Formats: sequence, C-alpha cells, structure tokens
Amino acid sequence: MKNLLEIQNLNKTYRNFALRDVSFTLPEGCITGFIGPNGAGKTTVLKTILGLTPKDSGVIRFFGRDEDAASRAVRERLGVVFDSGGFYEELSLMEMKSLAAAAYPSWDEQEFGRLLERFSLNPRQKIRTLSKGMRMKYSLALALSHRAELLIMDEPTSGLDPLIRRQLLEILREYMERGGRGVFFSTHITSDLERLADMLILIDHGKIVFQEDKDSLLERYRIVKGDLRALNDSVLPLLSNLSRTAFGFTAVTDRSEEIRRAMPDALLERASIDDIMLSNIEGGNTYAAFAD
Amino acid sequence: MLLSLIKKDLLLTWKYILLMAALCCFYPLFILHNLKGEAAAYAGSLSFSVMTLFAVLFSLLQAFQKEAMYPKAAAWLCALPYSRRDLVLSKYLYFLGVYLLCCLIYGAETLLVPSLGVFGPAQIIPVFAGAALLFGIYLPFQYRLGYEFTKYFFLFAILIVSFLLPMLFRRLPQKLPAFRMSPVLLSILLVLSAALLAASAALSVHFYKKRALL
Repeated sequence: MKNLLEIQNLNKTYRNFALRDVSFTLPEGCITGFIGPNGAGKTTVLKTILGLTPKDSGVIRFFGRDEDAASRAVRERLGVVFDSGGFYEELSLMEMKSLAAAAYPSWDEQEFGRLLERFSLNPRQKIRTLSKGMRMKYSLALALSHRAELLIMDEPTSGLDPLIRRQLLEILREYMERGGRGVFFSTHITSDLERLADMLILIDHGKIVFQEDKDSLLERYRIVKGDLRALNDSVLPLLSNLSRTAFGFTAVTDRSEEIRRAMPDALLERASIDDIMLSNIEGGNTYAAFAD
Repeated sequence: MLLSLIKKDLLLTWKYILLMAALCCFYPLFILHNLKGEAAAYAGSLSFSVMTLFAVLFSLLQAFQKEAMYPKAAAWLCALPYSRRDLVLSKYLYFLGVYLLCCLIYGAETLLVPSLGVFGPAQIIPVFAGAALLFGIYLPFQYRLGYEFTKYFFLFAILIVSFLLPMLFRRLPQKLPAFRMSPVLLSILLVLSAALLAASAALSVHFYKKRALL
C-alpha cells in the first residue's frame, strides 16, 4: 500500500506554540482521523501541510514523490475542505465554482452538477445565504469534482446537525469506494470517527502522541470500573484517567490482561475514542484527579 | 487561471467600478468648470491624472477590502492549484485593467468635449508613470503590512493631492514654459514604468509568499 502523504520531523514555532517533530504517514485507502484537544495543533499541521503556513523544518512528501504542496501538480490531486468553507460570500455558487474549475485540468462539470443536485443546492444562490450544513456540502462538492486522490478536511463536521453529519460521512464512504484514495480529516467529534475512520492520529501540545489503527486501539483500551479497595500501588500505574467516587472508581487502561489478573472483580468495558484521547493527553489525568 | 482571478475581483468590486466610472465621467467636467484662464488649458491633463489615480486606488482598496473580509478565501485559493504568485499578479492586472478603463472613458470624453484638449500618448504615458510609481509602492506595502495599515495612509495621500492640485494650478504663472515630451522620452518613461511595476510585483510576490494565510 503506497503512502499518499508522509510527514517527517515537521517543526513550526510560534511565540506561544510549537509543532515539534511531527511525523506521520497517510496510507492509500484509509480514512484517517486527526484528533486532539482545542489548540493541540491540528489546524496548524493542516495549514503547514497545505503550504499555507511556512514550516521551519521537516519533510512533507505527497504521493510518494519528493514534492510538497508548493507543487501545482500536487495541489491538483488534493481536495480541500475548510471549516466554514473559505469562500467569497458575495459570489454565487456558480461564480465560486468557475473560480475553482479554472484551476483544475481534471474538473468534472457533470460530477459537480450531480453533487449539487444530490445536495439540493441552487447554483444561482449566493454563498452568504447558505446555512452551515449547506456550505459544507457545497465545499465537499467542489472538493470532489476534480477526481482528488487525497481529501484534506479541517473540522468538516463541526457545528453540523447529526443528519447532515451522517450524510457527509456517507459521501466520504462512497468517495473511498472508488479506490486508490485517502481522506485526512481533523475533528473533535470523535463519534464520527468511530463510524468512519480506519486510522487515528492524536496530537497534543504540538506533538504526535500516536498513529494507530482505530480497531486495534478500540480493542486494546478498556474502561475499568471497580471497588476503591482494589486500588493499590501495583495497579495504579496501569490506569489513567482515574476518577473516584463514594461508590468506586472508573479509569482507562491499555493493559486489560494485567488488570484482569490484578483485579478479577473489576468490570472492563469497551472504551470510546474520547476515553482513549483523554487518557493520552496532558490534562486528561489532571481532569480525573480533580474529579476525585 | 489569472483571468479567473481577475474576473473574481471584478465580480466582487463591480459596484465600486461603476461608481468610479461615473466619477471618471463627471470629474473632468468639474475641473473644467473650476479652472479659468490659462490654467484651463491644463484641465484635461489634470482631471485625467486625478481621476485615474482615484479610480485605481479606490478599486484596489475595494478588492483588498474584500480579501480582508474573507481571509480564508485566499487561503482556500492557495490550497487549490492557484499559486500565491497568481493571486498577486492578478491584482496588478486588475490595476492595469482599471487604468485602461479610465483611458477609454476619458478618451471618449475628449471626443465629446473638445475643450478638454487632445488625448494621446503624451497624456496616457505620464499618467501611467504616475500610477505605476504610486501603486508600485503601494502594492508591496499592502502585501507586507496588510490592508488596514496601508489603506488610510494612501487614501489620505491621494485625497490631499486631489484637493491641492486645482489650487496649485490656479497659482501657476500666467505664461508657463511650453514643455512637450518627445516620443523618445515618452518611450523611456513607458519602459521605466513597466520595469517599476515588474519590480514591484516581484517584491509583492516575495512578501506574500512569506505570509501565513488564515
């Protein structure tokens, strides 16, 4: 399986924030969710990948070639969807489309028309009159009408109602069915990822915490519930996100077999991506400590 | 691709361009009405100079204001196969387009109002040189310092110039030494102005390439 994108030791420093040695790969045929708390660096990574923010150092390779997004040939193969669109709102859908279509030699007018019809969008409508959901659909229609091989999306489902979110996820699934493609999207709505993602990348404080297959993560992590008396020095290092109440404790572990042996009476449940994220970020445990 | 970007600027600013076109129609008549005697001989050149500088500045300010209103749109375009160089060059071509529109309007007006004087390279090229100098400086500042900072400075400068010029012309001596630019001098001026704009465009591209887009 070839990589659609490879990032190695990407660094970018701002006054109050820095991306530090960010490295990950996006394999072909995968929907990769990019997760992390607000301010972790998700949007900065996306902007740096797209060349919208200059990097300090590091290597960005698209489609197995030694080219980053500065190359027009690379950008022709990308589909980009920003949170809230990123359009000139005084233009109509058709006028904005003309601007996008002129940039892509592979623009497929029929596909665009088909998507507009599917999304019930009127091409003569002004962009400013679109709701957030319609704007996102329009954005997706533009990104999908030029046979993009890699779709890069910044918080595409943020602020959308569950029905529109479900529709968007369905479209992404269809997009992937055609093969040889990939989707990379940042989000903080982890329930969308549970439905759709194949791979997860977690970023926190500008550093990649993990890149892992979603199913293995969900398989490995467990929520542990048990009696407070079962907590002792030998099991505490196995637990994260520990919170205690008068009735017992709740925690997250990625070493369920050891927990089972140490606490046979403890209840182990499937963890959500939210639980996994919280147990891996700075502050996740602090939050649990405050809950004591 | 550049044409699409220019078309986008025109779609975003067409109302202001219409307003400027109306100003370009009326301003020469206003100047002609206000200048008497010897100074009236300069009414045509003066009004063409001022209206052109005004029209180009106002149209450019509007185009940049729209970019400032929708900062994510420029970022989106740069994530498409448009390069930052394309975005900058389209603004320079837009500027030249507005300049040509001013020439067309004024050219038509001199045919209708002969007292404005003749209209030819002797008027077109010096005004182009003035516009190239002003906007050749303005545009790199715009790309380096942003819309808000540059607009007030240049708008103020142009307003002062446009109000002071008629007063200056009234105070000119009754007999001015005749000065006509030779075709060679006009050609040199044209080449220098084009070179200045090219250097300015290169500088603007350099500044814009370094900018972090929203």
